[in-house]
Amino acid sequence: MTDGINGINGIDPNKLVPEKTKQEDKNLDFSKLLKDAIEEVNSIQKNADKVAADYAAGNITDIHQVMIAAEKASLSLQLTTEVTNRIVEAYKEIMRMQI
Amino acid sequence: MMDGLFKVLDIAASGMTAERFRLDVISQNLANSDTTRTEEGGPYRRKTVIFQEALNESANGSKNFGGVKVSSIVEDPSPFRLVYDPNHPDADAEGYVSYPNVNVLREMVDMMSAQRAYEMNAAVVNSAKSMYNSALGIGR
Amino acid sequence: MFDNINFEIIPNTMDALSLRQNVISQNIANYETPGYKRKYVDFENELQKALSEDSALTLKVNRDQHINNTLSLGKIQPNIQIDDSKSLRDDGNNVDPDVELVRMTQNTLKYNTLSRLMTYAIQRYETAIRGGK
Repeated sequence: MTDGINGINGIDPNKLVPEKTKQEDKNLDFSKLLKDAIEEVNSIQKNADKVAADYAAGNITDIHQVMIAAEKASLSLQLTTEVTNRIVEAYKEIMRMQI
Repeated sequence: MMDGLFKVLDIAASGMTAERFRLDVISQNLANSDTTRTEEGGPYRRKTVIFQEALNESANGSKNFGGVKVSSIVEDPSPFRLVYDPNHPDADAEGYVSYPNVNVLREMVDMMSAQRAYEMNAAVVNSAKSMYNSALGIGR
Repeated sequence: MFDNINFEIIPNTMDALSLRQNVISQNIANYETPGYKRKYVDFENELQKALSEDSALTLKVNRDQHINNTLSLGKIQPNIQIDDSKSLRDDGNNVDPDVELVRMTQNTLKYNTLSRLMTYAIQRYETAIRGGK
């Protein structure tokens, strides 16, 4: 099975993966997930803003472009909010498990 | 700047009033197109309205836009129609009767153009209503 | 929070469009006024210029610059100009009712779209405030 266990007496604690490291991996994953999600939604918001400003200034005349960008921004924000809520809850759940 | 849209309604209303007035005058012309006898003596003389841009002195910028107003009603100086009819009670010494200088076709054309202008101003009112309603819906 | 582009540029533009509606309405009401020259509103050019000089709208963001520039973007003044062009009519009036009506429809449409966009922006803020709950 695992390398650290040889027969009944042969448990080698050094070979077993320490839980502390596992904990840190999970930390990195979570914060990276959150960061990426927030950056993505931020850039979609910025794009929607830019498109709205261009429309106001007369640079864009197609309404559908503007409306689609606005809708994307709205949906992506709602989705991201929901996803980050879930991620945070999952993280809290795992934190509770350590104790 | 909500009063900006109310101002649009006032301006359009002034346009509609002016065109309605013009329609009244046209209607007067048509009703009297054969009137050989008026109170001042002589046949009816065609009338037209003169429009003028209405501006209020109170403020500057667009705040003084007042639309349009009728500045005066003038009589058309063109000559009367002479018709030879010596038996007519209003015939002159040579037997000619003077009929009003109203050209019915011309009046009809003017009437259609007054009507069109009236409808355009009504379209302005509708567009202002649409804008107003959509501004009311902001945030919902 | 309200230095966001949407809360500056969109209301400012809607002000300008409201003014433009006044001006178009004045033109239509004076369609038969002898000697009247049509008026129009200048706004989009100014806004375009300000936008192309503003780096906050590119996706690279510098926080301080962003705040300074967007505040000035919301203050663009529309101005009323007179179109002196020659008229085809002998009373000197150069209002073309078809053109004015089309402009009016475009203007209404743009105003309504901007108010819709404003609503989107507000709703996004509400989503963020509620945290999705």
